[in-house]
Amino acid sequence: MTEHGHIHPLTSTMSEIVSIFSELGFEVAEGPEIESEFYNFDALNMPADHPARDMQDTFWVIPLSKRQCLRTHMTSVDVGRFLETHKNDLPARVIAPGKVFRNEATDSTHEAQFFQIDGVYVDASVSLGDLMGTLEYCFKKLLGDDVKIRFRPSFFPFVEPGVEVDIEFRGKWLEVMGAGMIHPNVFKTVGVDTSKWRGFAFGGGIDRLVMIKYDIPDVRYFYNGDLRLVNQF
Amino acid sequence: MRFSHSWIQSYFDEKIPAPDKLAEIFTFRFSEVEAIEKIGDDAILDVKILPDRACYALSHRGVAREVSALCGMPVKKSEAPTLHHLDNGLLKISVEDTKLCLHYVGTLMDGVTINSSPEWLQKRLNSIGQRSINVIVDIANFLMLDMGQPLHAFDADKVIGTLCVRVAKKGEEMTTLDEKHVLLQGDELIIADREGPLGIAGIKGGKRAAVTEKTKRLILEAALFDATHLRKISTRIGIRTDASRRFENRIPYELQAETMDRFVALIQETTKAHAVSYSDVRGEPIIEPHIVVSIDYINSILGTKLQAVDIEKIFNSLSIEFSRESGNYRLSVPTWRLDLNIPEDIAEEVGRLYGYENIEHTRLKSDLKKPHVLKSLAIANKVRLLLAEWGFSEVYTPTMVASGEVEIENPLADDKKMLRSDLTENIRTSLDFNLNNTPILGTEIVRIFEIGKVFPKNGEHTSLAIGVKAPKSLKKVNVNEEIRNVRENLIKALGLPLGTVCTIDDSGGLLLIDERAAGEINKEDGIMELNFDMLVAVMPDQEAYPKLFLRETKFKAYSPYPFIVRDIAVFVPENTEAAELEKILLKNSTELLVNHRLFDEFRKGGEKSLAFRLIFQSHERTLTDKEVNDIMKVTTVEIANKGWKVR
Repeated sequence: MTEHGHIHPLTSTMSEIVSIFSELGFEVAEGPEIESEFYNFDALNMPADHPARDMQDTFWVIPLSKRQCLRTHMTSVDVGRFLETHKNDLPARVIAPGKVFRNEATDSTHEAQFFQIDGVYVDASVSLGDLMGTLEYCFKKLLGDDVKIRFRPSFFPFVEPGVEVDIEFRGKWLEVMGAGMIHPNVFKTVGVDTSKWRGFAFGGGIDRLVMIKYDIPDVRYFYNGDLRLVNQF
Repeated sequence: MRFSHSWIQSYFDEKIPAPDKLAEIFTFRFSEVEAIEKIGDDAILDVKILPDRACYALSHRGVAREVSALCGMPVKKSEAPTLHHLDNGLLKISVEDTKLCLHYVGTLMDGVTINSSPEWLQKRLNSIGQRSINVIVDIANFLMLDMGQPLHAFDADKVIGTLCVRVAKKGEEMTTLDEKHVLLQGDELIIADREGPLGIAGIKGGKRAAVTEKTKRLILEAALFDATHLRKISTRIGIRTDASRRFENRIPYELQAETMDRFVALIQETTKAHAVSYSDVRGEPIIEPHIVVSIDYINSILGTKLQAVDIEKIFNSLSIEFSRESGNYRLSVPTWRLDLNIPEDIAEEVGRLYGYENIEHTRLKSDLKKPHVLKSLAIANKVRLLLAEWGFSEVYTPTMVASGEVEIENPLADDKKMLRSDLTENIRTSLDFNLNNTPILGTEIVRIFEIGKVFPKNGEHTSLAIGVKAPKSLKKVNVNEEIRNVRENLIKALGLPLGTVCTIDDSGGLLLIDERAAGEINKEDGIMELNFDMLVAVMPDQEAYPKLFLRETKFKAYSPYPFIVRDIAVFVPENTEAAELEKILLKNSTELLVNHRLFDEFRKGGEKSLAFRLIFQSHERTLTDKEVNDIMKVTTVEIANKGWKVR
């Protein structure tokens, strides 16, 4: 009798997050890993030669003239692509889990490839309080009722106001997400009527959540095909 | 940016909060403080200034204004005498492109002696980690860190003819202050004289007219350059400076003259030099629009119920002037707040000063519509569950590899410069790696799979690869046969219209969907790869996402050191349980025994042979054979004492 196989903890955690959001009516969106400059940056209020582009070290695909990159965040999928194709089919509740890339030196807490989940809610009336309540609910579902959450001022070009999301888990505060109210420039670029719709967006890394939940010391363990990690799950 | 607590304090008569307290206020009301460092009687706060607030907060004055808004303390007034009376035409400045150079303020000074800086100035610069160079450079740096306006000084006697701000000509050359040679391409904005370039505007000064200890006369510069142009040029020529960073984040139009007044006043105070001539060249003035916003709108974005009195208090603390017009506020924001342009920006200011912790969390209104199920994800999870049931474990492997068909710019390493064009290569590496670890894993055969994107030349798609590997010594296992079984099981379980064309022994072949090639069988023994997008396309819509199991477990760290394997076979009386032998093995093996299993058992002539495989490994060091031999020796003696016989 063959021993039962194991599912990677990143997959099962993402699947858990998907099911939490599904219960709230969110559908899942997907998109390409090689992304156009437009969806990864321009549509998200990050024009060329804007300092905000420095916030994400980017892998550009050769030839550079095609203006394609490895997507640096899942925001290109739910805010960029999904809202553009569904601009006449709103309200919308969407999440997009997937692999993203950053051109950063790797160490125990940094990988050039990692998983993110991004989410968007667009409706006639949406507030920062709704965003806070939604994230609080979902983190509690995922990590337990004793998890605390807090919000700090921050900046992401595609939201205004923009906040950093921290959670307290096992006595330690950790930065887990960026979030905020979708910037009117984003709505204008993808063609959503700003006089009718408002929205919130949030996004964060999965790897870090799995690391803290299971006490995994090194993010690189996830991507080297090593069953010494996978077989524990 | 690093901010000195005592430098910020110098803006106030009242005592500002202590460093720890101030850091907390900043983090929750303004911007994250990443570190606090105590230096003597001062403390340095490292504040993460993000691009939106960089226009005012990359300066001690800007941060002092935040302290004023957050703590309700007025900032001390200080003004240097203006220099307009010196606009006598002696200093000529020609600005050829007023779109790229929006404002240029220059001052000619005479009678300079270049000394080292006074102690207070050196102390200020040292406190935030800046080196003192000479009094002129130090004052310029100090004022940039204080006011946010980059400044420059030329040796006036080395400037030949009129100082000119113009676009470079292709082929002009320049050596920077730090000896970097720059060949200009002809679109860079430069500061030049009759002889050629003296500096790349806002990015880096040139060597030719640099201030030295012999300098007697100075031309001082306080200018405003176009942010987008400057960033484009600085990125292309690869020079990033404290000055260029401020310009590319925009700085206010009003700042140049104000900073020049202080620049001149400080040089006069410290070097006895005097101003001779002043010139102020302005392009089109930038008119910042008024923002119109209502209380309701602010409340609807934040989810709050703030009253006019709450909001107006916040406007006042931020020096935002307001008037009310038919229920709306018409706002006039301070000149330095270039980041405030739309009602949403104002909502953020109100939100952060009110305190995000004071906003009530609300749950979304329920949506009775069942969300659409993404077919590809539902089927992927179904396949994962099936493969796991059949003994396969899921891995993730690197997207960036040594060889492929799509290349990326600036790779992390030479062997990571391509995107994988298939999964087979990585799966083989993973099979080999894990096969070496089978004693630790407690298995003999490695069975893995991956679902992930691959990037052949004709475009990316999702791929599924399944691999099996067994040690050569395990003759009973035929990996290609295993692949055939899993493939047939998958076809059956999913009802998959998957065709195969393959050799009889499954040593190679093709997978077909709708008669189109969708994958390869055993291109390498024991590995099959299939275009998962094609598989999904022929499957019906899915009703729900199959739930994956999520283990409640705590990760046990594995050792980076090599392990040692020892097999031991013992003849015991026929009625002896294996557990009795196991107990002796465990007792003597200490924590170094990381895995063990009974791998063989047979009976012969009233006796029973039990064979255990023992895996030894340390978390701290490489184990020696001797250490393990010593453990085995003690174990062997104890077994002999029982009257049992080690084979």
